[in-house]
Order: sequence, then C-alpha cells, then structure tokens
Amino acid sequence: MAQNAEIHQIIDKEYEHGFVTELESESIDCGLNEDVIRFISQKKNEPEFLLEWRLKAYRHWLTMKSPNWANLNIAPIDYQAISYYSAPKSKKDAPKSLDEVDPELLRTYEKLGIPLKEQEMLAGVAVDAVFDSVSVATTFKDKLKEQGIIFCSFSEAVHEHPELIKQYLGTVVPTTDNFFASLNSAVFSDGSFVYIPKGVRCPMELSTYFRINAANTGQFERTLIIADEDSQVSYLEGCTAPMRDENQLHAAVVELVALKGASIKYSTVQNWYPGDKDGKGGIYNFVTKRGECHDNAKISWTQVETGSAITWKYPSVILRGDNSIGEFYSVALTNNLQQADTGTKMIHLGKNTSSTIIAKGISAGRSQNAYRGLVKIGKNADNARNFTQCDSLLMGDTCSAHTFPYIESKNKSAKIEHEATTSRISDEQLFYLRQRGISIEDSVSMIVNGFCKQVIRNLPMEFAVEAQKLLGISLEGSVG
Amino acid sequence: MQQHLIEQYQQHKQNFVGYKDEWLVELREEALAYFLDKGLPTTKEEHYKYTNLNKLARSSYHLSHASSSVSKEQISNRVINTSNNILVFINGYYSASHSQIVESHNNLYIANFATALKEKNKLITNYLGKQVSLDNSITALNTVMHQDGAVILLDKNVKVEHPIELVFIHHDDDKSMQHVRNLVIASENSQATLIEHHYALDESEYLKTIITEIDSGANSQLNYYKLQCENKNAHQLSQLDVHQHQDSHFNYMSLDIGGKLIRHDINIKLLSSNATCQLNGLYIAKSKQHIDNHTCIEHQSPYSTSMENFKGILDDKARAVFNGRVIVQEGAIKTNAQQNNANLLLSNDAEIDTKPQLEIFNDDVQCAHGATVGQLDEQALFYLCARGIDQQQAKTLLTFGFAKALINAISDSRIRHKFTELALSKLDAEQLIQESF
Repeated sequence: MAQNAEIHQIIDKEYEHGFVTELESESIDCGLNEDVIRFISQKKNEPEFLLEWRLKAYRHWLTMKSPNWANLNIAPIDYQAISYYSAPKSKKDAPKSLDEVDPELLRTYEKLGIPLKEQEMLAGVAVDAVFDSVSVATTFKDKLKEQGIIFCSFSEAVHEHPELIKQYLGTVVPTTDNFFASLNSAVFSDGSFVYIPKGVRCPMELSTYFRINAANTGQFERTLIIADEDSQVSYLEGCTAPMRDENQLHAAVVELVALKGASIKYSTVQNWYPGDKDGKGGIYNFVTKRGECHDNAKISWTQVETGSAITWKYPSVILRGDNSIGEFYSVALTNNLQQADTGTKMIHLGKNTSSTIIAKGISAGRSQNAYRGLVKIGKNADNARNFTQCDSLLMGDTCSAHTFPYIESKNKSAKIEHEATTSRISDEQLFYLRQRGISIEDSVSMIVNGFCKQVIRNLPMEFAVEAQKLLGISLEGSVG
Repeated sequence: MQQHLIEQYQQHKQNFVGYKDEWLVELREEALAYFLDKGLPTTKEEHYKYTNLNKLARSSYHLSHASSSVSKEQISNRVINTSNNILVFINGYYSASHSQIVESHNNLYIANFATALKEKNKLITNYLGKQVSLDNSITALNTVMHQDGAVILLDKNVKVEHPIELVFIHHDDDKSMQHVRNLVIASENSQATLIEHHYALDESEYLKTIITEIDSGANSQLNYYKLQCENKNAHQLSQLDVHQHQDSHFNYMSLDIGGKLIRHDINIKLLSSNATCQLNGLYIAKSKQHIDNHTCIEHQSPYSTSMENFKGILDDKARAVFNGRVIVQEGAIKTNAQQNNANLLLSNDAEIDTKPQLEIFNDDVQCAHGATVGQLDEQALFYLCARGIDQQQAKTLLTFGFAKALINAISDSRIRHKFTELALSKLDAEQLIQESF
C-alpha cells in the first residue's frame, strides 16, 4: 500500500507543474523567429535571464552558416520548416499495442532481450504507466536526495535551482560556439540536470532511462552536469534499443563541469533510426558535447554510435586545471548509407594534464565513417601527455573510412603519440572461426567485438552486454 | 599582390620563355586570370590553416634580374660532386657557363626550359601543365611568371650514371621573385638520380616558387633529393607532382634547413598497379622559421605501396606544419600505405601542427599512420652527461641521433654525406661531421 501511495504521489506531482498539461493542447507553427523563442520561454515559465540568453544565442545564430567542413553529405536543412515547440506527441497517434509496431523493430528488441513492458515504452505504445520503472525511479530519487544530489529535468532545474543554471549554463559550450550549439541554445526543449555536491560519490549510475519526464525531451536536448569538488558521478545516456522518434533533426548540447578533484564518466549508446537500406529517412544527429576539467579532475567519454543517418559529434575535454585527465573511448559503426564524422578534442591548458583517445570505426555497406580529432597543447601545458589510437575496420569494397587527426603542440615538454590503422577482417581470422562451426555472421560479430573490446569494457556492465549484442545486430547482412 | 603581378607580367611578357608560342602565352594568361580571381590562399582555407601568407600577399615583388657576379667556386663548393651533370640557375635564369652536362647521348636529353622549348617543342606541349592542374594559386602564380627551369627526358632503358644536380642560386637585390618550372619525363625502364639544391649568396628578401612535374614511366626508378638551404629572409613555395606508372619506384628525400617561410606540396599519384613510392623528409627549424610540408599520396590502382617518414626538429620560435594525406581509391585493392611523422620540440616557443590524414574507399588495404611529438629523453641525456660529455654536446648528439636514421637510409654515400654535413651545421655541431663517418 505504501508503495502505491508513493506512486500516486509521483503521478500527482507530475501534474503539479501545470505547464505539462497545458502543452498538450498547444503547439506553434513551423518557423523560427524571436517571437517563437519568447513563446517557448514563456510556455516554460522561464526566468528573464534565460530568455535573454536564448535571444542572444538566436541573434548570433542568424549570423552563422551551416558548417560544411565535415566529411558528410547533408541535404540542405530548412530551419523554417521545423516546429520548434511541439506539445508531447498525442497519444492518439501512438500505436495501441505492440501488434501495431513494425515487426522488424520487435525482432531487434527480442534479440536484445528487452522485457515486454519496456518494449512497449520504447516503441511508444500508449501505456498508462509503467509501474515498474516508476517505482524504481522513485526509490532512486529518494536515495539521491538524501545525499544532496540533484537529478531532474532541465526545466525543473530552471525553476528550482536557477542560481546553478545561471552560474554554469553556457560556460563550457558558449552560445556562440558553433552553428548547432547556437541553435540549441536558442530553442532547447529540455534535458537533464545533475548536480553532485562536494565530496559525494554518487551511489548509482544515473541514467536518463530512469528519469521521470524523460520520455519527451524533444529534438533540442540540453544536458548540464556539475560535479562539485571531489565528487564522482557516472551518467548513462541513451539506450541500446532503437527509439521511436519523429524528429529528423537532433541538435543536442551536453555540458560537463568537473570542479577540483571531481570525476565524471559519461557513457552514451546511440541507436536512433538510421534510415532504410537506401538511406531514406533516418535521424540527423548533430551534437555538441564538451566538458571542462579543473585541477585534478577527470572526465571520461565513452560512446557507442550505431544509429542515425548522419552523426556529427565530437565530445571534447578542456583540461584547464593542473593534473586533469581526459578520456575518450568510442565505437562508431556505420552500415548501408549511414555517415558518421565523429571524434574528440582534447585541449590541454593546465600542467601535467593527460588524455587518452581510443576510437574504433567500423564501416560496412556503402557507409562513410570518419574520425576527426584535435589534440592541442597550450603553451603553459607543461608535461602534457596524449595517446591516440584510431583504428578502422572496413567491410566491403564500397564503404569508406577516413581519419583526420589534428595535432597542435606549443610546448616542448608535451608528449603526443598518435597511431592509426585501417584494415579489414582477415580471411585467416574468419576461416579459423568458420572451421570451428561458427556461422559467418557470428564470426564477424565476434571479431568486431574483439576489435571494440578496449572501448566496450569502459561501459558500465549492463550497457556493455547490450552494446555487444547491438554491434552484431547492426552489422547483419553486411557480410556474405 | 594581384595588381602588382599584372604590372610585372605586362612589363616582362615579351622576355618570357616561349612568348612566341601561342599555347604557352594562353596558358600564362589563363593562369593570370585565375590568380587575379583567387589571390594567395588565406588561413581560412583548410590547406593553409596553419601557414599564413598574408604578409606575402601584401608585399610586392619584382621579377628577378640575371646576375653575373657568381663565381664557379661558389657553385662547385655546394654541389655534391663536380663530375656530375650540373644545371645551374641563377635567380631563376639558366647559366650555361656554370653548368656542365657530362653525359649526353641520343637517348638522354638534359637542357634548360628555354632550349628545350625550341628543340622539343612538341613533347613539352604535350606534358607541361598536364600533371599540375590549375587548381591552386601557387601553381597559377608560377605558371604566369615562370622564367626557366630544367627539362630532363629519359628514353626507354636509359640509366643515367651520374646524378643530375639542379642548382638554384639566389643573388639579387631585395624583394625579388623568381619562378622555376621543371619537367622530368622518365620512360619505361629508365633510371636516374636527381638532386635539387637551393642556396642564396646574400641575405636579401625574396620569393621563389618552384614547380616540378615528373612522369615516371613503367618500371622506371627515380631518386629525387631536395636540399633547401635558402637564406633567412626567403620564401619558397614549391610543388612536386609525380605520376607513377606500373612497377615504377620513386624515392624522395628532402632536407629543409633554410628559409623564413617554406611550403612544399608533394603530390604523388600511383596510377598503375605495383607502383611504389617512398617519401622521406627532415626539417630543422630555428629562430622564427616556418616550414610546412604537405604531402598527398593517391593510390589509384591495385598493389601499390607508399611509405612516408617525416621528421622534424624545432627550436626557438620555429613552427612546422606537416599534413600527410593518403587517399586509397575504390579499385586500389591490396594497397599498403604507411606513414609516420615524428617531431622533436626543443623550445617552449616552438610549435608543431601535424595532421596525418587517411581517406580510404576500399576494404582490402593495409594502412597505418603515426605521429609523435616529444622532447629529448631526460634519462639518455643524463646517461651521456654522467659520462663526462657536456650537456650541450649531449643534447646535440641526441638530436642528431633522432635525425640520423632518416639520413642513413640514403644509399649514395656522397649524397648521404652532404645531408649529414648540412644537418649538422644547422644544429651547430660541425665538430661531429668527422665523427659521423
């Protein structure tokens, strides 16, 4: 009974914020201008400073041009043809039960071993309440609160902790940073906010998956994670299962702030709809992710990118403080006509800073996969250390793999190493496995997983298991 | 610079090589139009991100004058062997009196551009500007103004016994510019060694552009060495374009020690199967020198191999740029491409920007690249000092050791000796020259 009461409390609480219900009835026409931004801000009941901030970003965005330096073919995007404020999708359009969901999608869920209830949630089936997750989330939330950890949606944080938002928003990714970041700053919909107080070690992996209200963060997601001095947090984003999503353009911004001695681990598994075999449809994923490390702090990015038609993503670390550490582990897999241009930037500014980059690219079908990275050693970054390894695995003679590593060093005590290899699965390896009665697809999956092991073992355990399965599934039909 | 270039062109066009050849005049004017439209590249362009030509674009240079005050000794001191084939160009103009061609027969043609244009007009019409396409401003600038250069034609099965040395000497007043155009056509089965020297006899400021087009025929073997010892006020913008045919070998090794602003573009196209190229380069920069090596190797056919190894030593406020691009096209299966760039930073004001870049469109390849930036090993330094070698000398020994592996790969002992000598003099370690041999 007590549990039930708790659940009801949560459900009621959701409705407390009147704007959530209001949204359902209102949305605005396509197009972007200052009025639209005022409208978004007003609907979200935002304080004045945030509106000003959005407008400033918008005005700057108007002066910018869509970047074309990446190794991507992007059909021109009409920014006036997008509705920047849409109410959460009406439950009327959603499939009524799993029977109405694309069987292809269900097959994938099954392979990933996702429970039925969750399958419904992921496929966007109109379910009244997913009781299991809600109760899980509630217990989690209480536990976090005890330690003073704030973990809520961005909109909620704007109301409840405006001082933190004001202090940190845009400090790592300024509104003027790049085309997509500016657009996001102007029109961002929602996202996550995390604050870990001084000296606290977050007792569990934080995940968007368990956050209430996470269902509709919209296409312009904004995440801000602040780890105060000597705190620790691990954050998981995304989900191995393909998510139903109707927005084609996604331009998210993620900002991480690791204060003195803090440590943030940010893991992503991205598996949005990549489009069909001929490249029709599919999500455009243009993400700006950056973290700032103060003295003795550490930021670690781990990503497994298998979805999206186009991925444009460079999770970066600014190693501002002395003895700070930046890490980047990435697997990017492209198949069919997918395109990925991804990598990282490690900006060494403090003394004794070190960074590690391990990037694994796998391209199959007619896809394009590029690693683009920058390692920059500032003049005062004495004893900076970087190790970069980017390997590409090619499958088939119509795919391509590219590496664009930029290394800029201005300090003599810096030690930078970069190595890259490109090859395909060798016939010997395949023969060895086939000879032992393993099917060709399993063999390939096994070899690919071996190739990615260095990265996958950096994922939290439950993610890692799913990510391995995901790699196998994403490559289906690419060898034969 | 554009306006000034028109004036210079109008003023000198009557004196240019081939001013009576309509096709060449057309080529020059087409290039002029291109240059007027584009101007020199800016740092906003990806290829010139790290090399700023702004100052150059704002200056005006006059076309160089012929000089007669260069003595024979000044040349013979600098060449590798006085019994080699030697072509001397002073301020961009051919000097017959300083040159010597020791090997001459029907199947081998070595001459300057102006002479070759008269004698081998048809061949030059067919080849000139065919490998270097008019797609960048440096090529355009050179095409508009080029004064002279070397033309080397090797017939089938010719083996040139003595290396061919091309010596480019600068001795002029301030703010002069010279533009050189070389053409090398190596037919099937031919073999030759070429050495390109760049020296200045004074400290005046100048701009030099040099474009070399090489067609390396089936099963040909070419060794190409470049020694760049310009003065400290020199700007050199160079481009080397090589087309390699089946089973051909092209070996390149460069040493850059001079110049204020140096930019080399090396473009290799491996057109047919089993072509192999080896590119090595050593750059040593001090004070405020800027040395930029941009290489691009394009594998277009199966079973081709490319090996690339560039090393840099940077001190004071010097800056070096390395961009190694390897493209493996769709049909180029079984390609093997290896690339390495290692850099030694000796000062906190020095800067290196390196970008080893792979673009691969095919799965059956083996490609690897590596880049390192580091400093002298403290332990090795301590080891030497502990044995009574003073610190400065210990540093020099280690620095030279870093470079030596590249130099030692040169098979010809005279050429190797020259590289060692120049590298050591740049490192202020002439005393090591004797010990090195």
